[in-house]
Amino acid sequence: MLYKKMLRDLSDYKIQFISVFLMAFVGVFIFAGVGGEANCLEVNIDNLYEDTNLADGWIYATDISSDFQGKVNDLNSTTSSERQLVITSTANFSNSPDIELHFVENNTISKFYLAEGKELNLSDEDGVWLDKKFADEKGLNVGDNISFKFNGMTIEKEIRGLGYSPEYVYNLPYYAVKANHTEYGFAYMSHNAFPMDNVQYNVLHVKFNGNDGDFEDVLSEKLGGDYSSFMPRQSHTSVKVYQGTIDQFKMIGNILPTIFILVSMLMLLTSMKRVITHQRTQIGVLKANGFKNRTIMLHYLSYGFVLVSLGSILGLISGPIFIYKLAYASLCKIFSLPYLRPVDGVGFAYAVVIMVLLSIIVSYYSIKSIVNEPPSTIIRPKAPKATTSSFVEKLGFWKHLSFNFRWNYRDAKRNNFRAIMTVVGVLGCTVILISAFGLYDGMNDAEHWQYDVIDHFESKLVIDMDATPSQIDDVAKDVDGDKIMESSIEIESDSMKKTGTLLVLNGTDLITPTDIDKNRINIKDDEVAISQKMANLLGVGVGDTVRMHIKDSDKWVDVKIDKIHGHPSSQGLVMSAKKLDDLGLNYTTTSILTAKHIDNDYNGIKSVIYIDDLIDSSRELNTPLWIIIYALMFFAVVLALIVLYNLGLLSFLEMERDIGTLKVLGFKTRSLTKLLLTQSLVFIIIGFLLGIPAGYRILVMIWQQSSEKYYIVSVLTFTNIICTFLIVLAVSIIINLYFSRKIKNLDMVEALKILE
Amino acid sequence: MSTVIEFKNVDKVYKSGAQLLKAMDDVNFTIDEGEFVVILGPSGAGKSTLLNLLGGLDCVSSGEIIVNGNHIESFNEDQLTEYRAKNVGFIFQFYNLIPNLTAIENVELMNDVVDVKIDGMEVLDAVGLKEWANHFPAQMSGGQQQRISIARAIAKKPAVLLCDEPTGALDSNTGVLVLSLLQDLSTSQKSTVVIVTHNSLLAQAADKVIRIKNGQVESIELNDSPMKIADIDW
Repeated sequence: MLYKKMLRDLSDYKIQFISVFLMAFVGVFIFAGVGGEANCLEVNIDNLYEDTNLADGWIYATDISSDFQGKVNDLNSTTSSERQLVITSTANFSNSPDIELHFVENNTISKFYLAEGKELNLSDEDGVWLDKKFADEKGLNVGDNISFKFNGMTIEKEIRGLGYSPEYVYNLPYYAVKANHTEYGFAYMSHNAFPMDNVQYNVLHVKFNGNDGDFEDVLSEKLGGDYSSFMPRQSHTSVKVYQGTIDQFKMIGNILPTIFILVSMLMLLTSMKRVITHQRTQIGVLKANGFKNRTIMLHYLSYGFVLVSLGSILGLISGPIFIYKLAYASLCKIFSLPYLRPVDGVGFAYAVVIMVLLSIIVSYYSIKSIVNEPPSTIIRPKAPKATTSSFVEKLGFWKHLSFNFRWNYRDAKRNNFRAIMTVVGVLGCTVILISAFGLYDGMNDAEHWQYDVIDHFESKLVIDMDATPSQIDDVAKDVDGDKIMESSIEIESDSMKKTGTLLVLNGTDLITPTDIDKNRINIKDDEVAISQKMANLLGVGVGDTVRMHIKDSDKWVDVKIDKIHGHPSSQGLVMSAKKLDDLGLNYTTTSILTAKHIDNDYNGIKSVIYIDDLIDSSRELNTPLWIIIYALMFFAVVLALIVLYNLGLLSFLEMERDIGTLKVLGFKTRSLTKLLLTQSLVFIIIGFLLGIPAGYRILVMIWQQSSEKYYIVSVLTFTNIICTFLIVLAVSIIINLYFSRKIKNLDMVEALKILE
Repeated sequence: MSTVIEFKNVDKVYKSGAQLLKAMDDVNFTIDEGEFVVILGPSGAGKSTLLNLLGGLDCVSSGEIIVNGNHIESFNEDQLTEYRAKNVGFIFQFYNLIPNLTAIENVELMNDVVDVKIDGMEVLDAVGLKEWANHFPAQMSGGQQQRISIARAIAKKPAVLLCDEPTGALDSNTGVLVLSLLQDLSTSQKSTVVIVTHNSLLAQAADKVIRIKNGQVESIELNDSPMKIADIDW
């Protein structure tokens, strides 16, 4: 029979129970959804790396002999290695796409992942295993022939298989700005397919135990000078960019969903406590009729248990799927993965357990305090809380304050738990909205900083690797451009080694470095500036010395830091060509910048990148993040609606009798609505005001967790504050309009009977 | 004495799904100014419905209710609110004081809905609770709370005082004190007092007794020499 009672109670209190259910649902939905997306990306890539046995590091040299490979294998931490010859070729299509050819020795490390066709066969001299995305774009199928030109040779092969490579999950050549799989790709072949007898391997894929730094130290100590450079897995562009996206998801997924779940829990507790307190006389009746305390407790515990379990389990199941579907298309556009399967939310099941346990604990304590009273007491409504006049109320001006003010002051004082919960609820929603808008503003600010404040060029002409100095000079003169050098570097301090970017400027006005406050700074010819984020990562400052080397060169040099600059998306060093030369390093022009829009083709120019393309590309790479930010903003509003509705309902139900009395006494609906609205607005304003600094603090914490590539300044704009306030206010007004209708339609006779 | 209240062929029908429940069935009576009227009847007879209709808390299904010459059955919601604010003083079984307000504030609360300026202290003095002016309802006994409720009701000098089981939640001694106060108001201030109760002993103190049964007026009795509340053997 108690089961029937439970079902009927669920029906009678459906609005409150629905909000309990929704809060449990939304809290876990976002928590598991956003957190699950980072998990999904991580699990899928880990599986791919495992399936293809991706190398832990790559050793580059012009000729990797079997003797050198043997020495690497002899290092204690090395577990296996494999040589590859990697050559850039041009495929026989009208647009001359660049194809990176991999002639593999054993196909045991960094293996080709087959999607269609036959497995890679080392004895097959005529077959090629091609990039599936490239093949799809070109309409190539297994069995078709394709030829590649490189080093003056042309080879023609039959496509045996199509698939993916763990080294090309993110594949954007240096001259491209947006993913375009018709223009580049990769292909794998057996070393036997190489047209010459002697294959001069140039990359050694290594698997090793222990950390990258230790391996590199040993490698450098034992074999230094026998190879050009070593790149650990985490520095590989594809691995790094993919990891950056995981980090972005984690950055948002760690903090904001936790606030969602905390707000949901708090509100859930308030509701459960209220429902149970409201059932006080019914508990008395059950007890008076001989029901055991245990039976009554179990009965009421089942309410929260059933609803919270249902809501949070549904959130756990649907959150990861929903967010996965939301971000899937944009992720597939950026990354080439054989699979991107959703990951279930089991890893977040602890959130459900905590949610359910908390609701049971609160229900337990609420019931316990009631059932422990004698039935004769419980069967009657609880005596109103005794109130005494506070200091403020004894002051002379008190009497002159409006009824509205006095009422609300006393109501908040009497129902302080509800008042605190309302403030905390609004605070939580404000924090989520301020942070979500802050993320939005931060991303926009970073874009503005980079493309309006630092970069002033219109076109960036990427130099072909084969271009001659005179060709470069001619183009620069013709387009009225400035030559720059951009290169990947490794920077080392006493405590840390990081990869970054070297930017060498020749007194150009088309890139103007700034400090972290976006004020232009002048880096003199004999100065070196380090980016703020890199300085933070390395733990160095002005006056300190770091070591650096340019990728593909093993020459390390000491660099004294003279200035700190700020850059939102490129971390490393900025210096002049003269300074680079002083350091004993070669200056090589990699691009020409110009303020003109260049449409002409030039010899020696690989591609022209326009500033708008760069902006689009940066936006495209951040699309998954934008989607999550929009989703968070949407659910923050949903949460605000549920929280404020729920709290409004609690206020209304607790004041229903008083409102009924006032209505009977002749108070107009308008005055009564004003009464509720005033209270609601005061709590909203307090919660909102407290939420602004809290939200900003959370925003700072979120940006601090952003990946090493980004340095985004936490901005709290006036628009952010106004938008957040307007949303909270609008939600509150909608809720209040709803309750003012309830006041208008309030059945006075029934309202007065509530106590009876 | 002039007629203050008149019920003419009043019907009140409640709908519950397909079922119709007639709570008032052709009710007719009049109440004169300053009368102390007791409406008696068993539970479910329709006493509270009658009071709700008279107090403007509910609307008739048919018939007329005329109070001070106004047909309140034709009032819209705003007019009913105005009517309750200016013409009716309510006294409930469970006092219905506003727990957030002190005794004097509960009385002076009416300043927000009526035009006359109410001196809370003066009214509290009239019900003998001047000393309790700054206490909250939760700090007072049931009898004291009911007297505050009476003070609130009479403060605006309404045309009629409607009392729904005003002693239902009180012990008998306190109940006698409260009823005496209501009777005094009727005799000394010529206030019209209508009390709904199932306690038939109170009939001895009434100027007029209206007995209700099954939603109909069973009888109307006039009492030429009503007893003093204190003299009734409770």
